Amino acid sequence: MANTLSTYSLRHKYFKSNIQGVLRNALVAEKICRVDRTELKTIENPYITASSPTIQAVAGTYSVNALTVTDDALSVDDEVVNATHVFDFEMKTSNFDLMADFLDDLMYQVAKKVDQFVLNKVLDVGTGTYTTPAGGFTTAANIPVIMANLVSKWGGFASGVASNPFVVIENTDLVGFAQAQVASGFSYADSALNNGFMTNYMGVDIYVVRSGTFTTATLGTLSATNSGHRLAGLGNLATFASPRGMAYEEKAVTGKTGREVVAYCLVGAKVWNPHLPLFIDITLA
Amino acid sequence: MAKEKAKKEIDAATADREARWQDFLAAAEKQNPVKFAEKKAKGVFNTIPDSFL
Repeated sequence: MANTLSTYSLRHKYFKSNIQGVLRNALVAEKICRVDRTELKTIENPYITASSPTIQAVAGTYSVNALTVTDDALSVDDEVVNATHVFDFEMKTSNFDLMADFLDDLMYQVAKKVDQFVLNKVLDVGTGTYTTPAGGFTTAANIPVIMANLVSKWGGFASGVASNPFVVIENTDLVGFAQAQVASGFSYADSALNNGFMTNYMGVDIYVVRSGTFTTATLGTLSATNSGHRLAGLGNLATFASPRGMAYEEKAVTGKTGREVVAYCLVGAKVWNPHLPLFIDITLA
Repeated sequence: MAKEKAKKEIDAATADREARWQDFLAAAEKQNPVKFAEKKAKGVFNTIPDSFL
């Protein structure tokens, strides 16, 4: 007959000195955008409206065009905040450094929300459109068709204009992409089979975010209607402003022991007017 | 009694979510009228998605 042993008479071991964090998502916005962390409220970038030349039989006479310069600005209108309070008795009696572990999660969640905002904002304002064949990215046979159509959106520009194309897909789209990669060509397929998902296809960089990143919801001042949509565009053309980046404060508050800790970040995102057609709102059929 | 109360609470929450959805659609249309019209024509807004809390 086995003995009855109390919980704390048994040996317990802690896996590590930190509290386990949540699974972290890939953050993509900084990889596809130009990032500005200087202290600013707006970034001004006026643009010229294209002039119209006249082609005529040789005459030597002409009339002048009045050119138009239009203002275009990125405005930092949103902030992401995330806070908690750790009481003194919690800090004293915990087996972990609660302030450090909690702050780590607070800051990651802020970064994740900023990333989601920027991706949805850029997708919302881009004027290029494309609807995939039925099945979207999850059907392997669609991948070459989709990618070829996207590439065609950026063709015909002067050298250097349409550089660094990218597409941002969700992890559920990998089903078709991965199958298409291992069935493509010889060395490309071998690389995909040996090394896993390839992050470039047909010259287009592929970024993968978690399902639900493109969303239909209110994100600060943005009313995003992007559920079932994906983003394609050109790298370093969209701008993401985050004055002084991520910050945090620890503070004593009236009426409570311990410390309140808050992580926060200002954010604004913009696609400059002449570049709007280069950002493609992909609708999954 | 408890069931009726629970049903009333659910109905109120649903009505509240639908009201917020209508406000959301109004804001989305004002923000980007061209895209909104395209998506509306495709029936994208006919049902409230799960991501809309």
